[in-house]
Amino acid sequence: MGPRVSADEHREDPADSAGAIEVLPPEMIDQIAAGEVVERPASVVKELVENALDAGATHITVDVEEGGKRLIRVLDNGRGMSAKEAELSLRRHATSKLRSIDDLFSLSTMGFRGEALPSIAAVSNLAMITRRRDATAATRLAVQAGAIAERREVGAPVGTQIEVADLLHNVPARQKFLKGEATEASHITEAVSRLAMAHPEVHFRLRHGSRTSIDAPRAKDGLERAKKLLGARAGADLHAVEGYEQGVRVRAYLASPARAQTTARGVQLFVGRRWVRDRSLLHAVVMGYGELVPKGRYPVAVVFVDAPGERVDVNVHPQKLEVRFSDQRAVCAAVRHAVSRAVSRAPWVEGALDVGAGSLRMEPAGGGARASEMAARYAEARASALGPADRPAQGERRGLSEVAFPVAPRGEQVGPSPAEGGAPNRGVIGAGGRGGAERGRVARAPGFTPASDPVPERDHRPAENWARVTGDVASDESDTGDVPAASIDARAGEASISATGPMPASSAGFAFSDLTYLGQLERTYLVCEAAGELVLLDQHAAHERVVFERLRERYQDRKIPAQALLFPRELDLEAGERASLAEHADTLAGLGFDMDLTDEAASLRAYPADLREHELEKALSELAGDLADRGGSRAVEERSDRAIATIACHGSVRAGDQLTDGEVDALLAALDETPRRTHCPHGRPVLLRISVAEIARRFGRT
Amino acid sequence: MDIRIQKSEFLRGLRLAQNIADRKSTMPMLANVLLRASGKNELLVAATDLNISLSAELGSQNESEGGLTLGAKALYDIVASMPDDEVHLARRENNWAEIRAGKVRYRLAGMPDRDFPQVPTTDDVSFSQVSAKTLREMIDKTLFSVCSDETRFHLNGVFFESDGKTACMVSTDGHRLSKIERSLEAPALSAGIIIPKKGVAEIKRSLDGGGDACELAVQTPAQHQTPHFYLRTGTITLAVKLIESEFPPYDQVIPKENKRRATIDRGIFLDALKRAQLMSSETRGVKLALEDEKVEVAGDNPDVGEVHEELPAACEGGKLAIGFNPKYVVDLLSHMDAEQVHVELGDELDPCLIRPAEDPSYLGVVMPMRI
Repeated sequence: MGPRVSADEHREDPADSAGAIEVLPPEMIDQIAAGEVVERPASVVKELVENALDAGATHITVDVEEGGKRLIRVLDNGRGMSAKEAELSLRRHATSKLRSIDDLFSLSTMGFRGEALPSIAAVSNLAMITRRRDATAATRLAVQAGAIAERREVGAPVGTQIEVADLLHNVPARQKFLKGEATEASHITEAVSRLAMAHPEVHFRLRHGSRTSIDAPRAKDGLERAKKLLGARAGADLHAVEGYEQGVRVRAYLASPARAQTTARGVQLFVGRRWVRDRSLLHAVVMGYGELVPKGRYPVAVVFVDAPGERVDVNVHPQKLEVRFSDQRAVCAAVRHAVSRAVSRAPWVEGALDVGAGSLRMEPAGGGARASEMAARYAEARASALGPADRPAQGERRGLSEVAFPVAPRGEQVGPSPAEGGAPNRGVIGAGGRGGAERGRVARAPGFTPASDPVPERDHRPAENWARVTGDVASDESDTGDVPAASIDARAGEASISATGPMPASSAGFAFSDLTYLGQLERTYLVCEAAGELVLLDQHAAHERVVFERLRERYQDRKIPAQALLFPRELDLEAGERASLAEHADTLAGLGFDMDLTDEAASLRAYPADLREHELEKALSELAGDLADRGGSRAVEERSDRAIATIACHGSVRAGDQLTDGEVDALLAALDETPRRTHCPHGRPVLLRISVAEIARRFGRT
Repeated sequence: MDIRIQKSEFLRGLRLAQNIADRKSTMPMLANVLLRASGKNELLVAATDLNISLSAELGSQNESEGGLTLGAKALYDIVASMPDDEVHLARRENNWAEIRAGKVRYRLAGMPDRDFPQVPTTDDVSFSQVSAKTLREMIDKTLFSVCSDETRFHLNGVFFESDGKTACMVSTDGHRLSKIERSLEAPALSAGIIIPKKGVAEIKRSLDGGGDACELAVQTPAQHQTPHFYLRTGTITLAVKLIESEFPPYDQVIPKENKRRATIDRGIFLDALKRAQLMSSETRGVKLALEDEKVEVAGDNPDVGEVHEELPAACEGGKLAIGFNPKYVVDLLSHMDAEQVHVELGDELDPCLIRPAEDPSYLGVVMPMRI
C-alpha cells in the first residue's frame, strides 16, 4: 500500500501518464521492496541482529533512540566484512548465505535473501563500520537515500556496527503509520527478546536511550535464558521438556498453568531458531496443557520445534514470521504430546498465599529405584528453594539440580513409572494415547541436539545415566537419615527461606494417602496434616480430576460403564441441543449415553455411571454446547476431552457436600493414582500447602 | 399455663417431636414444639416441618390451661436430664418457660403458641386398625430403594396401594425397584398414593415405639385440599403430607417371563457380592456369569485388583454375562429373609428380577450396567 502511494507522489504528470506502463526507477523499486522488510523499527532491528548472528557474533548490543525512529544502532563482535564485501552487502540480493536455490531448504542462517540491508538503506540514513579480524583498519560507509555518500578507513574493533538514523524519513506515507515511541520501543524489545530466546549462547543487550531493557549474558542453556527473559515471576517455575516424534524434535520451557494469560502472547514458538506465528502450533501447545488452562486463556510457554530442513519451508513470509511444514499434523502432534507429557507430571503447585515455592514432590512410594529418584528430587527442591537471590552462590548445587530434574529424563524414565505404564491394564493417559513402548522410544531418542541448543551436552544424556547420577545424589541424601523439607516464602519482595523440621526420608515423596485428614472446612475444603505442613484440598477440584482421568482412561478403552434406567427418562433439552447431541451420537455412545433423540424430545435409556444422576440434564445441555462449539473442525480428542471434563464435573462431589471419613480416604488414595492431580480439569489448583514454618512465622514464633 | 407431668410420659411425645421439628428451616418456629394444656389432664405436644406433623396427647395434671412453644431439642434434652420423675412446667411473662424437677430449675425462652402452624386435624378421617408388624415389614423392604435425588420428587417416596384386603408398597430410584404385597386391612384406595421418604421413616420410627396395633387413614386429594397419610399409635398421631405426582408405571418394567433363571443360596450370593464390592465401586460394576451349575461373580478395578468367585447355582435358560452395580443387588438381598433366591434374567441389557424362592409377593428389579 504505502510504496504505491509514494510511487504516485513521484509521478511528474499524472494526467499524461495515467494508464501508460513505465519501468519504475531503481530507487523506487528499493523503496517498495523496503516496504516488505522495513515495516517498523522493530523489523530493522530484527534484520540487523539476524545479520549479526549470522556473522557469528557472541555479543550483540542494540541501542535505540525514540523507539528506533531516530536511531537504531546494532553493534556486534562477529567476523566483520572487508571494504569490498561491505559495499556489496548494500546491493540487493547480494548475500553470503545462499549459493543455489536448493540451499533454501537446508538453511542454517537466519537471513538469506540479501535484501534486508539495501532495503533499509533505501529508506534511512545508514552508516556502517566493519572490520574483519585480519584487517588492520575498519571500513566506514555512509549511505544516504540508497547511494553511498562516504567511504573511508577508520579505527574500530573487530565486528560490525550499523547505525540506522531517521528511518523512513523519505517515505512520509509509511512514516505516518508508525506508532508512538513507546509502542515502537516495545516492539523492539519483543523482537530482541525473541532473538535472545533462540540464541542463549549470545550475550544480548538492548538499551532504549539510557535505559537498559534487556541484558542477557551468555547462558549455559535455553532454560537459563528463558528464565532470564521471562523474569522472576514467570521464569521461576519454568519446566523444561523435550520430545522426539516422527522426526520432529520439540524442546519447551513451560510455566505453571497458574500463569495462564488472557492473550496468546505468552506462548513463544520457534521453528529452528526462528520465532514464528503459527495458529496450529499455538493450538497444539494449548491442547498439550489440556484442561489445566481454562477455556479462553493461554499458558506461558516457550517452544522450539526442529524438523528436518526439507520438511520446513521458511520462505513463505518476507520477514520469515511464518513457516510451512510438509506435515503440519505430525509437527503439531509432536508438540502436543511433548507438552502434554510434561504437564501430566504436573511439576508445579499453585504457589498462592505463602505456600512454599518448593513444590509438590509427588511420586507414589515405589521400589528402590524410585526412592533414589525421590531423594534426588528432594535435593532439587532444596536447591530451588534457595531462590533466585541465592543463585550465584549455588555453584555445584545448581548443577546438581539441573542434572537431576529436567522433565524429559524424568517424565520419560525408561522403566515404567507407577503412575502410568506400571499398573496393569491402565491405558496411557497422555494425549494421543500412545503405548508405553513408543513412549520409551521417544524418551530414549538418542542425542537430541537441536541445532538451536548451544549447550546441550549435559541435558541430553541418555536416561540410564540420569538414574546413575541421581542415584549418587540419593545415597548422599539418605545417609543423613532425614531430609529436611525446605520451602520458600514466595511473597513478592521478601524471599525468605524456611526449613521445617526433619522428616523421614521415606516420606520425601508426597503422597496424598499419607495425609492425615483433620476435617472439612465449609464443606468445601479438606483440611489435612502432613509432616511439617498444613495441606488444604479443594474437594470438588480433587474429585473432578480423579473422575476425569478415570473416565478418560476408560473412554480410550471404550469401557465407560453405563447404568441402564428402568424408566426411559425424558430430558428437558432445547431443539438446538438435541440436534447437536444427535450429530455426535457416536461420541455420546462411547461416553456411555444411550438415548433416543427426535425432533420433539430426548429420552435417555442409559448414562455413564460416573455421572451424578441429578445433574444429567445440566451435563447433557453442557455437552451439547461443548460438541456444537467445536463442530467437526477440532480434533476428536479434544472434543471427547471436553465432554469427559463435563461429565467429570457433574460426576464429582460438589462444594457443600459433606464427606465421610471413608470418602475422604478413598479420594486421597485415588489422587495418588491420578496423573495431573495438582489441578482440576478446568485448571484450578487442587491443593494448597502451608508450611508449619510459615504458620510459626505468623504466630511470631520465629 | 402451669402443668405437672411424668417425665417418661413427657419424653414419649418429645422424643418423636424433636425428630420432626425442623431446625434448618427458615421459619424459626418450626424448630419448636407446641405445648398446649387443656382441661385438667390433657397436654398436647405437637411438632411439624409443614410436611410431617406429629401430635401427641399426653396425660398431665394441669393447674391452669394455656399454650407455649419451646425449642424442641433443648426441651427434650432438659427433660431427659431431669433427676426426678415428675416435671413441673409453667409459662412466665414474655413467653419464658420455667421447668422444674426437684431442686433443678430451668428458665427457657419460648415463643407464643398462637404463631405455631396449624397441625392437620383428624376429625373427619376414619382410621382402620392394621398390624403394625406387617406395616413395618413392608416399609423395611421398600424404603431402601427410594430415590434420594430431590429433583425427581415423584420417586422420592414409597408408592402405596390398597384394595382394603391387600396392600402393596413399591419404591424405585430409576435404577432398581422393590415391591411388596401383604394382607393388610387398610382403607381401600381408588388410586395409589406416594408417601414421602422422610415421612415413611417417621412412620417406621413411631411404629418402633408402639405395640402391635396401629391405625391408619388416608385422606386422598378428592376428599381434602392437602392429602395426608395418618398413622395413629396410641395417643400419638402422625400426619404425612403426600407427594402429589404420578408414580411411574412400575408394573410395566417388572419382567414377567424372563427366559433365564438362576436359583442361588441367598447368603452365599450376598457374601460373594460383598467380597466383589471390595474390588468394585458404584461406578464400576460387578460381573455375573451364569453357567449351568454355577454363577461366577467377578469384579475388577485397575486401581486396586480383581476378584473371582464361583457359586453353586441352578441355572436354566442358557449362559449369560451381565454387569450390575453391586450395591443394588446387595441392598435387595439384604432385605430378603429367604434361604434361596431366584434371579430371573433376560439378555445383558434387560431388567433383572430377584425374588425370594418362597415368597412370591416380594420382588426386586435391578437394571444392569453395561461394563
